[in-house]
Amino acid sequence: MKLKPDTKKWLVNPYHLVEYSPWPLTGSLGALMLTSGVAAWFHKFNMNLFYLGIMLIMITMMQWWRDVTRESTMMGFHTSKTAKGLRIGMILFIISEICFFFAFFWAFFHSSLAPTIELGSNWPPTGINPLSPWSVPLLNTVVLLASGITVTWSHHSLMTSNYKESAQSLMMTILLGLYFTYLQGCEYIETSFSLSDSIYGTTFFVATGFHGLHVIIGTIFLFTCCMRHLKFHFTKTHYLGFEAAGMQAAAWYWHFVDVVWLFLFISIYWWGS
Amino acid sequence: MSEQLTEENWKGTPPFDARFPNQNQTRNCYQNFVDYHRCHVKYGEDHAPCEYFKWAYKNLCPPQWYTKWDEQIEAGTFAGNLKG
Amino acid sequence: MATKVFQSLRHQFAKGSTRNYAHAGSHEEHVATARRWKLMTYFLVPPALLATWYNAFYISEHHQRPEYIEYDHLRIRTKAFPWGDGNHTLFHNPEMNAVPGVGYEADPPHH
Repeated sequence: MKLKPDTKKWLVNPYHLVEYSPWPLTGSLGALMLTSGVAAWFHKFNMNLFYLGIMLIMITMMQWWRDVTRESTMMGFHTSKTAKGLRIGMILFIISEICFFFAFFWAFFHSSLAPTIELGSNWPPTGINPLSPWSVPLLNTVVLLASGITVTWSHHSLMTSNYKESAQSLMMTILLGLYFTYLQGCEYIETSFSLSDSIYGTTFFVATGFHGLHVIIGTIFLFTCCMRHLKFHFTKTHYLGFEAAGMQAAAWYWHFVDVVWLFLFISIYWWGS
Repeated sequence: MSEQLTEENWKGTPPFDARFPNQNQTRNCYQNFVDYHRCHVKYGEDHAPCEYFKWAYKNLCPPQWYTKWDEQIEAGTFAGNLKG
Repeated sequence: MATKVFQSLRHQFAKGSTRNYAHAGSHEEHVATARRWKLMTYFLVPPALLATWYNAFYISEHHQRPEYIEYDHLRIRTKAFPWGDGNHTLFHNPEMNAVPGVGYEADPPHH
Protein backbone atom coordinates (compact mmCIF):
# COMPACT_ATOMS: atom_id res chain seq x y z
CA MET A 1 0.00 0.00 0.00
CA LYS A 2 1.32 3.35 -0.96
CA LEU A 3 1.75 5.69 2.00
CA LYS A 4 0.32 9.12 1.54
CA PRO A 5 2.99 11.90 1.65
CA ASP A 6 1.40 13.33 4.81
CA THR A 7 1.68 10.14 6.81
CA LYS A 8 5.25 9.74 5.68
CA LYS A 9 6.00 13.08 7.31
CA TRP A 10 4.59 11.85 10.63
CA LEU A 11 6.59 8.68 10.69
CA VAL A 12 9.91 10.36 10.13
CA ASN A 13 10.43 11.70 13.67
CA PRO A 14 8.62 11.36 16.98
CA TYR A 15 8.75 15.10 17.72
CA HIS A 16 5.76 17.35 17.46
CA LEU A 17 6.34 20.08 14.90
CA VAL A 18 3.57 22.50 15.70
CA GLU A 19 1.42 24.52 13.35
CA TYR A 20 1.74 28.30 13.15
CA SER A 21 0.29 29.97 16.20
CA PRO A 22 -0.36 33.60 17.19
CA TRP A 23 -0.10 32.97 20.92
CA PRO A 24 3.63 33.57 21.39
CA LEU A 25 3.19 37.00 19.83
CA THR A 26 0.10 37.89 21.83
CA GLY A 27 1.79 36.61 24.98
CA SER A 28 4.87 38.76 24.54
CA LEU A 29 2.79 41.81 23.63
CA GLY A 30 0.68 41.15 26.71
CA ALA A 31 3.75 40.92 28.90
CA LEU A 32 5.05 44.19 27.48
CA MET A 33 1.72 45.89 28.13
CA LEU A 34 1.54 44.48 31.64
CA THR A 35 4.97 45.71 32.68
CA SER A 36 4.83 49.10 31.05
CA GLY A 37 1.23 49.31 32.32
CA VAL A 38 2.47 48.99 35.87
CA ALA A 39 4.95 51.81 35.23
CA ALA A 40 2.17 53.93 33.74
CA TRP A 41 -0.02 53.12 36.74
CA PHE A 42 2.57 54.20 39.25
CA HIS A 43 3.74 57.33 37.45
CA LYS A 44 0.74 58.47 35.42
CA PHE A 45 -1.98 57.02 37.70
CA ASN A 46 -3.64 55.37 34.69
CA MET A 47 -4.47 51.67 34.79
CA ASN A 48 -5.76 51.08 31.24
CA LEU A 49 -2.54 49.68 29.77
CA PHE A 50 -2.16 47.43 32.79
CA TYR A 51 -5.68 46.03 32.41
CA LEU A 52 -5.12 45.46 28.69
CA GLY A 53 -1.90 43.60 29.42
CA ILE A 54 -3.57 41.37 31.98
CA MET A 55 -6.43 40.52 29.64
CA LEU A 56 -4.11 39.74 26.77
CA ILE A 57 -1.97 37.45 28.92
CA MET A 58 -5.04 35.64 30.30
CA ILE A 59 -6.41 35.11 26.80
CA THR A 60 -3.03 33.90 25.54
CA MET A 61 -2.72 31.37 28.37
CA MET A 62 -6.20 30.00 27.85
CA GLN A 63 -5.85 29.72 24.08
CA TRP A 64 -2.34 28.37 24.06
CA TRP A 65 -2.93 25.63 26.60
CA ARG A 66 -6.26 24.80 25.05
CA ASP A 67 -4.34 24.22 21.79
CA VAL A 68 -1.86 21.98 23.60
CA THR A 69 -4.71 19.94 25.08
CA ARG A 70 -6.32 19.65 21.67
CA GLU A 71 -3.08 18.55 20.04
CA SER A 72 -2.29 16.00 22.72
CA THR A 73 -5.44 14.52 24.20
CA MET A 74 -7.65 14.92 21.17
CA MET A 75 -5.34 14.64 18.21
CA GLY A 76 -2.72 12.34 19.65
CA PHE A 77 0.35 14.26 18.55
CA HIS A 78 2.22 13.71 21.79
CA THR A 79 4.60 10.79 21.65
CA SER A 80 6.78 9.67 24.52
CA LYS A 81 9.54 11.86 23.18
CA THR A 82 7.24 14.88 23.19
CA ALA A 83 6.12 14.15 26.71
CA LYS A 84 9.70 13.76 27.84
CA GLY A 85 10.48 17.14 26.34
CA LEU A 86 7.54 18.68 28.15
CA ARG A 87 8.71 17.18 31.42
CA ILE A 88 12.23 18.53 30.95
CA GLY A 89 10.72 21.88 30.10
CA MET A 90 8.69 21.95 33.29
CA ILE A 91 11.73 21.04 35.37
CA LEU A 92 13.75 23.81 33.73
CA PHE A 93 10.94 26.28 34.38
CA ILE A 94 10.83 25.33 38.04
CA ILE A 95 14.61 25.79 38.22
CA SER A 96 14.21 29.29 36.83
CA GLU A 97 11.61 29.96 39.52
CA ILE A 98 14.08 28.77 42.14
CA CYS A 99 16.55 31.34 40.81
CA PHE A 100 13.80 33.96 41.05
CA PHE A 101 13.13 33.25 44.73
CA PHE A 102 16.85 32.92 45.47
CA ALA A 103 17.17 36.62 44.75
CA PHE A 104 14.56 37.57 47.33
CA PHE A 105 16.10 35.33 49.95
CA TRP A 106 19.45 36.94 49.20
CA ALA A 107 17.92 40.36 49.72
CA PHE A 108 16.39 39.25 53.02
CA PHE A 109 19.64 37.82 54.41
CA HIS A 110 21.67 40.79 53.16
CA SER A 111 19.45 43.15 55.13
CA SER A 112 18.88 41.02 58.21
CA LEU A 113 22.38 39.65 58.88
CA ALA A 114 23.92 43.14 59.20
CA PRO A 115 21.08 45.51 60.13
CA THR A 116 21.98 49.14 59.42
CA ILE A 117 22.16 51.92 61.98
CA GLU A 118 19.01 53.47 60.57
CA LEU A 119 17.12 50.40 61.77
CA GLY A 120 18.77 50.59 65.17
CA SER A 121 21.37 47.92 64.36
CA ASN A 122 18.94 45.14 65.27
CA TRP A 123 16.62 42.75 63.50
CA PRO A 124 13.66 43.02 63.59
CA PRO A 125 14.18 46.79 63.35
CA THR A 126 13.15 49.08 66.19
CA GLY A 127 9.43 49.64 66.19
CA ILE A 128 8.51 46.48 64.30
CA ASN A 129 6.47 43.79 66.06
CA PRO A 130 6.98 40.63 64.01
CA LEU A 131 4.29 37.97 63.71
CA SER A 132 4.61 34.96 65.95
CA PRO A 133 5.67 32.06 63.72
CA TRP A 134 3.84 29.59 65.94
CA SER A 135 0.41 31.04 65.32
CA VAL A 136 -1.10 31.21 61.82
CA PRO A 137 2.23 30.70 59.97
CA LEU A 138 2.54 27.28 61.59
CA LEU A 139 -1.00 26.45 60.53
CA ASN A 140 -0.10 27.54 57.00
CA THR A 141 2.92 25.24 57.05
CA VAL A 142 0.72 22.29 58.06
CA VAL A 143 -1.86 23.21 55.41
CA LEU A 144 0.73 23.19 52.64
CA LEU A 145 2.39 20.00 53.84
CA ALA A 146 -1.04 18.36 53.98
CA SER A 147 -1.73 19.50 50.44
CA GLY A 148 1.57 17.93 49.42
CA ILE A 149 0.35 14.65 50.86
CA THR A 150 -3.02 14.84 49.11
CA VAL A 151 -1.50 15.73 45.75
CA THR A 152 0.90 12.78 46.02
CA TRP A 153 -2.06 10.52 46.81
CA SER A 154 -3.86 11.94 43.77
CA HIS A 155 -0.87 11.31 41.55
CA HIS A 156 -0.39 7.71 42.68
CA SER A 157 -4.06 6.85 42.48
CA LEU A 158 -4.06 8.22 38.95
CA MET A 159 -1.29 5.78 38.16
CA THR A 160 -3.44 2.94 39.44
CA SER A 161 -6.31 4.34 37.37
CA ASN A 162 -8.37 4.91 40.48
CA TYR A 163 -10.49 7.64 38.95
CA LYS A 164 -12.63 8.45 41.96
CA GLU A 165 -9.84 8.66 44.53
CA SER A 166 -7.67 10.68 42.20
CA ALA A 167 -10.39 13.25 41.69
CA GLN A 168 -11.26 13.41 45.39
CA SER A 169 -7.69 13.92 46.57
CA LEU A 170 -7.09 16.49 43.85
CA MET A 171 -10.09 18.44 45.06
CA MET A 172 -8.79 18.20 48.64
CA THR A 173 -5.49 19.63 47.46
CA ILE A 174 -7.23 22.55 45.80
CA LEU A 175 -9.29 23.24 48.91
CA LEU A 176 -6.18 23.27 51.06
CA GLY A 177 -4.51 25.64 48.61
CA LEU A 178 -7.48 27.98 48.77
CA TYR A 179 -7.47 27.80 52.57
CA PHE A 180 -3.78 28.78 52.61
CA THR A 181 -4.48 31.78 50.39
CA TYR A 182 -7.37 32.81 52.61
CA LEU A 183 -5.25 32.54 55.78
CA GLN A 184 -2.40 34.54 54.24
CA GLY A 185 -4.85 37.22 53.17
CA CYS A 186 -6.09 37.46 56.76
CA GLU A 187 -2.51 37.66 58.01
CA TYR A 188 -1.70 40.46 55.56
CA ILE A 189 -4.60 42.48 56.91
CA GLU A 190 -3.76 41.69 60.54
CA THR A 191 -0.05 42.63 60.59
CA SER A 192 0.90 45.83 62.38
CA PHE A 193 3.64 46.46 59.80
CA SER A 194 3.25 47.10 56.08
CA LEU A 195 5.30 47.10 52.87
CA SER A 196 6.60 50.60 53.57
CA ASP A 197 7.92 49.79 57.05
CA SER A 198 11.67 49.78 56.40
CA ILE A 199 13.50 47.01 54.59
CA TYR A 200 11.80 44.56 56.96
CA GLY A 201 8.42 45.24 55.40
CA THR A 202 9.88 45.21 51.92
CA THR A 203 11.63 41.85 52.22
CA PHE A 204 8.72 40.30 54.12
CA PHE A 205 5.95 41.29 51.73
CA VAL A 206 7.89 40.91 48.48
CA ALA A 207 9.03 37.38 49.37
CA THR A 208 5.74 36.19 50.88
CA GLY A 209 3.76 38.10 48.29
CA PHE A 210 5.41 36.46 45.33
CA HIS A 211 5.08 33.13 47.10
CA GLY A 212 1.36 33.76 47.54
CA LEU A 213 1.00 34.58 43.84
CA HIS A 214 2.69 31.29 43.04
CA VAL A 215 0.28 29.46 45.34
CA ILE A 216 -2.62 31.04 43.47
CA ILE A 217 -1.08 30.10 40.13
CA GLY A 218 -0.48 26.54 41.36
CA THR A 219 -4.06 26.30 42.59
CA ILE A 220 -5.36 27.36 39.19
CA PHE A 221 -3.06 24.81 37.53
CA LEU A 222 -4.38 22.05 39.81
CA PHE A 223 -7.94 23.22 39.15
CA THR A 224 -7.51 22.91 35.39
CA CYS A 225 -6.03 19.43 35.91
CA CYS A 226 -9.06 18.56 37.98
CA MET A 227 -11.43 19.77 35.27
CA ARG A 228 -9.56 17.77 32.63
CA HIS A 229 -9.52 14.72 34.87
CA LEU A 230 -13.27 14.92 35.36
CA LYS A 231 -13.60 15.05 31.58
CA PHE A 232 -11.53 11.86 31.32
CA HIS A 233 -8.54 13.47 29.66
CA PHE A 234 -6.18 11.48 31.86
CA THR A 235 -6.64 7.78 31.22
CA LYS A 236 -4.90 4.63 32.31
CA THR A 237 -3.02 3.77 29.18
CA HIS A 238 -2.21 7.31 28.24
CA TYR A 239 -1.28 8.66 31.63
CA LEU A 240 2.37 8.06 31.91
CA GLY A 241 3.66 9.66 28.81
CA PHE A 242 0.98 11.78 27.38
CA GLU A 243 -1.96 13.73 28.64
CA ALA A 244 -1.15 13.45 32.29
CA ALA A 245 2.21 15.07 31.84
CA GLY A 246 0.15 18.09 32.80
CA MET A 247 -0.86 16.45 36.08
CA GLN A 248 2.73 15.52 36.78
CA ALA A 249 3.84 19.06 36.08
CA ALA A 250 1.15 20.48 38.36
CA ALA A 251 2.24 18.16 41.17
CA TRP A 252 5.87 19.16 40.75
CA TYR A 253 4.95 22.84 40.74
CA TRP A 254 2.86 22.37 43.86
CA HIS A 255 5.74 20.66 45.68
CA PHE A 256 8.04 23.53 44.65
CA VAL A 257 5.57 26.04 46.11
CA ASP A 258 5.47 24.02 49.32
CA VAL A 259 9.28 23.91 49.59
CA VAL A 260 9.58 27.67 49.05
CA TRP A 261 7.09 28.16 51.89
CA LEU A 262 9.20 25.97 54.18
CA PHE A 263 12.24 28.14 53.43
CA LEU A 264 10.18 31.29 54.00
CA PHE A 265 8.83 29.97 57.28
CA ILE A 266 12.24 28.98 58.64
CA SER A 267 14.18 32.08 57.58
CA ILE A 268 11.76 35.02 57.56
CA TYR A 269 9.08 33.96 60.04
CA TRP A 270 11.13 31.98 62.54
CA TRP A 271 14.77 33.11 62.36
CA GLY A 272 13.82 36.68 61.46
CA SER A 273 11.52 37.29 64.42
CA MET B 1 37.50 62.65 89.98
CA SER B 2 36.02 66.07 89.93
CA GLU B 3 37.99 67.81 87.22
CA GLN B 4 35.86 68.69 84.26
CA LEU B 5 36.88 66.88 81.10
CA THR B 6 36.06 68.51 77.81
CA GLU B 7 36.84 67.74 74.24
CA GLU B 8 40.08 69.70 74.47
CA ASN B 9 41.56 67.05 76.72
CA TRP B 10 42.31 64.77 73.81
CA LYS B 11 44.68 65.76 71.06
CA GLY B 12 44.45 64.99 67.37
CA THR B 13 41.97 62.43 66.11
CA PRO B 14 40.64 59.20 67.68
CA PRO B 15 43.12 56.33 67.51
CA PHE B 16 42.75 53.23 65.35
CA ASP B 17 39.85 51.09 66.57
CA ALA B 18 40.40 47.45 65.67
CA ARG B 19 36.65 46.83 65.74
CA PHE B 20 36.36 48.98 62.61
CA PRO B 21 39.45 48.25 60.51
CA ASN B 22 38.10 49.08 57.05
CA GLN B 23 37.55 52.21 55.04
CA ASN B 24 33.86 52.53 55.93
CA GLN B 25 33.93 54.18 59.36
CA THR B 26 30.18 54.68 59.71
CA ARG B 27 29.94 52.12 62.48
CA ASN B 28 32.86 53.72 64.31
CA CYS B 29 31.10 57.08 64.34
CA TYR B 30 27.74 55.55 65.30
CA GLN B 31 29.19 53.34 68.02
CA ASN B 32 30.90 56.25 69.74
CA PHE B 33 27.72 58.32 69.57
CA VAL B 34 25.68 55.54 71.11
CA ASP B 35 28.38 54.75 73.69
CA TYR B 36 28.45 58.38 74.79
CA HIS B 37 24.78 58.23 75.70
CA ARG B 38 24.99 54.77 77.20
CA CYS B 39 27.95 55.92 79.30
CA HIS B 40 25.88 58.68 80.89
CA VAL B 41 22.95 56.35 81.44
CA LYS B 42 25.21 53.88 83.22
CA TYR B 43 27.48 56.19 85.19
CA GLY B 44 25.35 59.29 85.62
CA GLU B 45 25.03 62.60 83.85
CA ASP B 46 28.05 64.12 85.57
CA HIS B 47 30.50 61.33 84.80
CA ALA B 48 33.25 63.24 82.99
CA PRO B 49 35.17 60.43 81.23
CA CYS B 50 32.10 59.91 79.04
CA GLU B 51 33.23 63.03 77.19
CA TYR B 52 35.85 60.87 75.49
CA PHE B 53 33.09 59.33 73.35
CA LYS B 54 31.75 62.75 72.53
CA TRP B 55 35.20 63.88 71.38
CA ALA B 56 35.48 60.70 69.30
CA TYR B 57 32.15 61.01 67.53
CA LYS B 58 32.58 64.71 66.93
CA ASN B 59 35.79 63.87 65.10
CA LEU B 60 34.53 60.86 63.21
CA CYS B 61 31.00 61.82 62.21
CA PRO B 62 29.72 64.33 59.69
CA PRO B 63 27.96 67.02 61.75
CA GLN B 64 24.69 66.56 59.85
CA TRP B 65 24.53 63.02 61.24
CA TYR B 66 24.89 63.77 64.94
CA THR B 67 22.73 66.89 64.80
CA LYS B 68 20.01 64.74 63.16
CA TRP B 69 20.47 62.04 65.78
CA ASP B 70 20.28 64.63 68.59
CA GLU B 71 17.01 65.89 67.12
CA GLN B 72 15.70 62.31 66.95
CA ILE B 73 16.64 61.71 70.57
CA GLU B 74 14.83 64.91 71.49
CA ALA B 75 11.72 63.74 69.62
CA GLY B 76 11.99 60.22 70.96
CA THR B 77 12.40 58.68 67.51
CA PHE B 78 16.03 57.58 67.67
CA ALA B 79 16.10 53.96 66.46
CA GLY B 80 19.19 52.80 68.35
CA ASN B 81 19.42 51.46 71.87
CA LEU B 82 20.72 54.18 74.18
CA LYS B 83 20.25 52.27 77.37
CA GLY B 84 23.01 49.70 76.86
CA MET C 1 15.83 -0.88 39.95
CA ALA C 2 17.74 -1.91 36.85
CA THR C 3 15.91 -5.24 36.59
CA LYS C 4 12.61 -3.45 36.81
CA VAL C 5 13.61 -1.20 33.90
CA PHE C 6 14.64 -4.28 31.94
CA GLN C 7 11.41 -6.00 32.77
CA SER C 8 9.35 -3.06 31.65
CA LEU C 9 11.31 -2.79 28.41
CA ARG C 10 10.80 -6.46 27.72
CA HIS C 11 7.14 -6.07 28.52
CA GLN C 12 6.96 -3.18 26.08
CA PHE C 13 8.44 -5.16 23.24
CA ALA C 14 6.49 -8.29 24.09
CA LYS C 15 3.14 -6.56 24.07
CA GLY C 16 4.02 -4.33 21.17
CA SER C 17 2.36 -1.49 23.03
CA THR C 18 3.37 2.12 22.96
CA ARG C 19 3.28 2.41 26.71
CA ASN C 20 6.05 4.53 27.98
CA TYR C 21 7.06 4.07 31.57
CA ALA C 22 7.88 7.27 33.36
CA HIS C 23 8.48 5.23 36.50
CA ALA C 24 9.85 1.72 36.34
CA GLY C 25 7.39 0.29 38.85
CA SER C 26 4.82 -2.45 38.84
CA HIS C 27 1.12 -1.92 39.21
CA GLU C 28 1.13 -3.48 42.68
CA GLU C 29 3.73 -0.98 43.87
CA HIS C 30 1.64 1.92 42.69
CA VAL C 31 -1.39 0.53 44.50
CA ALA C 32 0.69 0.24 47.65
CA THR C 33 2.05 3.78 47.50
CA ALA C 34 -1.36 5.21 46.66
CA ARG C 35 -2.75 3.44 49.71
CA ARG C 36 0.09 4.77 51.84
CA TRP C 37 -0.59 8.37 50.92
CA LYS C 38 -4.30 7.81 51.33
CA LEU C 39 -3.78 6.58 54.88
CA MET C 40 -1.58 9.57 55.62
CA THR C 41 -4.31 11.83 54.35
CA TYR C 42 -6.89 10.27 56.60
CA PHE C 43 -4.84 9.73 59.75
CA LEU C 44 -2.03 12.31 59.76
CA VAL C 45 -3.59 15.34 58.14
CA PRO C 46 -6.82 15.97 60.09
CA PRO C 47 -5.26 15.83 63.59
CA ALA C 48 -2.31 18.00 62.51
CA LEU C 49 -4.63 20.54 60.92
CA LEU C 50 -6.99 20.51 63.88
CA ALA C 51 -4.19 20.97 66.41
CA THR C 52 -2.46 23.83 64.60
CA TRP C 53 -5.80 25.49 63.79
CA TYR C 54 -6.89 25.37 67.41
CA ASN C 55 -3.49 26.67 68.52
CA ALA C 56 -3.53 29.53 66.01
CA PHE C 57 -7.01 30.79 66.80
CA TYR C 58 -7.60 29.86 70.43
CA ILE C 59 -4.26 29.52 72.18
CA SER C 60 -1.88 31.94 70.51
CA GLU C 61 -1.76 35.54 71.64
CA HIS C 62 -3.23 38.09 69.34
CA HIS C 63 -0.65 40.06 67.34
CA GLN C 64 0.12 43.24 69.30
CA ARG C 65 0.41 46.61 67.64
CA PRO C 66 3.42 48.72 68.68
CA GLU C 67 3.21 52.20 70.18
CA TYR C 68 3.00 54.91 67.54
CA ILE C 69 6.47 56.54 67.39
CA GLU C 70 7.38 58.50 64.27
CA TYR C 71 10.54 56.59 63.45
CA ASP C 72 12.21 57.74 60.24
CA HIS C 73 12.67 54.23 58.90
CA LEU C 74 9.00 53.25 59.18
CA ARG C 75 5.99 54.25 57.10
CA ILE C 76 8.23 55.47 54.30
CA ARG C 77 6.47 57.70 51.77
CA THR C 78 9.00 58.80 49.16
CA LYS C 79 6.22 58.59 46.57
CA ALA C 80 2.46 58.54 47.02
CA PHE C 81 0.70 55.22 46.48
CA PRO C 82 -1.24 55.26 43.19
CA TRP C 83 -4.54 54.46 44.95
CA GLY C 84 -6.85 56.11 47.43
CA ASP C 85 -5.35 59.16 49.07
CA GLY C 86 -1.83 57.90 48.34
CA ASN C 87 -1.06 57.53 52.02
CA HIS C 88 -2.54 54.11 52.83
CA THR C 89 -0.93 50.77 52.02
CA LEU C 90 -2.75 48.11 50.00
CA PHE C 91 -3.81 45.95 52.96
CA HIS C 92 -4.28 48.89 55.31
CA ASN C 93 -6.05 47.96 58.52
CA PRO C 94 -7.10 51.04 60.53
CA GLU C 95 -6.97 49.07 63.78
CA MET C 96 -3.46 47.73 63.25
CA ASN C 97 -1.67 50.07 60.83
CA ALA C 98 -0.71 53.64 61.62
CA VAL C 99 -0.79 56.39 59.02
CA PRO C 100 2.31 58.63 58.96
CA GLY C 101 1.61 62.01 60.40
CA VAL C 102 -1.69 60.89 61.87
CA GLY C 103 -1.11 57.76 63.93
CA TYR C 104 -3.62 54.98 64.39
CA GLU C 105 -7.02 55.73 62.94
CA ALA C 106 -8.99 53.31 65.09
CA ASP C 107 -8.82 51.69 68.49
CA PRO C 108 -6.94 48.41 68.82
CA PRO C 109 -9.05 45.27 68.52
CA HIS C 110 -10.01 43.78 71.90
CA HIS C 111 -10.43 40.06 72.21
